[in-house]
Amino acid sequence: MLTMKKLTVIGAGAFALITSPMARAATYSDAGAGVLVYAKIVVDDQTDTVVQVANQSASPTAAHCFYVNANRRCTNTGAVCSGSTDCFDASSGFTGACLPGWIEVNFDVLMTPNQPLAWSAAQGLGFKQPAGLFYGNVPCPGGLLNTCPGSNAGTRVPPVGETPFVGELKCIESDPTTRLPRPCNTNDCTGPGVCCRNDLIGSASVESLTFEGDIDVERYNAVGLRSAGFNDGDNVLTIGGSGTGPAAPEYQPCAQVVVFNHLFDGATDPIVDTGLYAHSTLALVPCTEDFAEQQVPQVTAQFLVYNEFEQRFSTSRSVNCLLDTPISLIDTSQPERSIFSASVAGTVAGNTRITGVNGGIIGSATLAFCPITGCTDPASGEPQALGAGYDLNQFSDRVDADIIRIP
Amino acid sequence: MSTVKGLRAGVTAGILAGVALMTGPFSARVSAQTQFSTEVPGSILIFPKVVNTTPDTIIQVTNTSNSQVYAHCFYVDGRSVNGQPLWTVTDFELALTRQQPTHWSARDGRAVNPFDGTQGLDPGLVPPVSQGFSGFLVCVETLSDGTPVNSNALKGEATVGVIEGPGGLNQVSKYNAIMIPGLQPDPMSCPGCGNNGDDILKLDGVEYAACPRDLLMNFQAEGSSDPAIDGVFNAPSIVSSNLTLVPCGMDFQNLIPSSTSLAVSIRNEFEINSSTSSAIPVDCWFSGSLGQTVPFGGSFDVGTLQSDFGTSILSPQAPSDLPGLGVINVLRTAGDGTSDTAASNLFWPAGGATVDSEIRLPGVP
Repeated sequence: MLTMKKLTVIGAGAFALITSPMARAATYSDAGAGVLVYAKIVVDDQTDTVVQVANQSASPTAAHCFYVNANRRCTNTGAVCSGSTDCFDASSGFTGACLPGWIEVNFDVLMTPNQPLAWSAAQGLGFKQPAGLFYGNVPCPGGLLNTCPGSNAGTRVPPVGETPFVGELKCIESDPTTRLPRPCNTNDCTGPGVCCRNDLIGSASVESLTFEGDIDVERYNAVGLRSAGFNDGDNVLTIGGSGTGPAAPEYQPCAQVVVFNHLFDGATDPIVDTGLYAHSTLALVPCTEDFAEQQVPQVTAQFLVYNEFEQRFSTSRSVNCLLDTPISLIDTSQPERSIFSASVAGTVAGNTRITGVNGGIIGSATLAFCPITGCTDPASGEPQALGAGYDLNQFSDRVDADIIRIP
Repeated sequence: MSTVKGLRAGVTAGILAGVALMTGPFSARVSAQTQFSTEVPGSILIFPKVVNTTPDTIIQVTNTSNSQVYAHCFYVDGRSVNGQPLWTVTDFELALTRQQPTHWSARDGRAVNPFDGTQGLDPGLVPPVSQGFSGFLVCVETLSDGTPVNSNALKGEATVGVIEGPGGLNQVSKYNAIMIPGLQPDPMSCPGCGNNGDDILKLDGVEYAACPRDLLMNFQAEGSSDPAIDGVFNAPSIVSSNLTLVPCGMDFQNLIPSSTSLAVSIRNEFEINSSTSSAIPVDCWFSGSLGQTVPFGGSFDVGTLQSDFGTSILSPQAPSDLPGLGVINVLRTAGDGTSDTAASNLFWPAGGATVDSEIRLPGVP
């Protein structure tokens, strides 16, 4: 029965719920975080990615990291493919399907206070003695030859599993012993309670040798998920949402809308008219990932595209583990007919709002200038783009929670 | 008491209780967005590096809201003559319809001319900058009459590049504008807070977000090799970085150049600390290679740093100094002489200290 007391409580709760301010949206690519997401790691014969990560605190920390190999593979041969035409098996005469894959490799990185670390994705970071300025060595291996006050002992970053490799890297700040996030109950590190830490900052540079022998470097900052002031230290990282108990949010939510400013594909290079045309690529990964159950995450991304006349187009696309695509191939296989094409959109610049329907989305983008023949040399298949990487913007918080489940 | 009266009284009591809770110690004074950002739309955009030298700069600004938005923008020429900053300010205004993106080249500007071949709704007359311009751009969100407003609808990017075609110099970098949120506090808990519409934009955590005191910069040592380029057999490569800084605070009203000094502390991969012999003087605008003897004294060189990668913190040297804002642009040169640049935004410490500052706008005549 409704009593005065119950009604008062209901009214107070309803008012507080309606007027309570939302948590700050969401992900950070410019401040320390508890989880770093590098949305695009590429390694092939002409390309490597240099990953940088730093511990911005005065205490040692560790990160439990996951390379996710999102190479597409032929269902019949298991070979890496880019399309079904790559899956023709001459011995059987059959052509397999080229489906997205999901292979995860995890490793640990232990950092001393305020220490920066970097490695090449193709080479990894080993544990050779003696330490020094040689590539592939941790700076502070510990032991007799260690010259640092602290130690990176326990760090071993493998090279990516295969070449070519396209995928993402995710690093979770964790306890070096349990390999799980440290339990904590506050973001106020000056008061009582166990402080939740947001110590990791990072960036990645995707570096290619182009067809003409030029180098092309595309750099972006890693996207960070910051602590929400609570962590129970289990293997389920709850990102956003409004749950309680074990489902209480442990990290601030992913963005409801990712805002992507770009030049439409095929737009004349506005810097200097040298016969080069703008081409952008977009790399998106789901906010939710299950490394424990090895579930391939799939999110539907909805795109609202505005041109400089404020005219709007829309499309949607599935994000299976990783969507790394030229923007004019998002909605069609014929780029000149894409809503992301300058010839369709009618202007140079565009504003695209990307919403994840059944999960959050994180990403980065690249702007490149390519010849009329495209960003890949037709004869050799080698890149011939001149590009720059940048981070996406965001708007509002996701209401529903995302999760990262780790083994 | 009837059930209906009881319901009404109960809900009223509940609302009053909720008000008491919201205005008490658990109330939030400010809106969701309270910090400088490079990824969340804001009410003030700062593009620290805008050049019309051999590279040109393409500016992209977008209205992320579903309402018409106006902006008052200021180009500031950061060059110095005989050690004195020019501080030449050119301002212009933009009008953006809902969700409208726009772009222009710093070298060419953008005219209001539907027949000029530049497709799209022209956002306003954007003047070209002078040849050799090296400085920065600030855009402040306003109402149609120029009154500053805190709708946090603006975002922006800048592409700095030179493209000469095959065989020539080809370098393209892109960075996000620094976005300062205007704060929208709860008027019940903080009456008079928020934007008061005058020409003094207070970056104090009440009207707009306060300036982060420290800047974090991850860098690769000057003169070090790039492992990725060497790995694709184009050794020996060389890395060099250019740091661009502006003070967090400007006076466009009295045309007084802002200046500050930033102390630099450095840590290499071996956890060894060092610092530069002198602070970075940011007189209106600073742009320099990390390999410059003045002011860095070789502290970022690979031989001095003794590791290939490092991290540094840039902080105001004196308590009265303003913090800095900036971007880093890394030049990688391969063994065959080809090169490319890549820009990225700097970081701010999580939960770091802030410093109050202000941006003064010229009054509307």
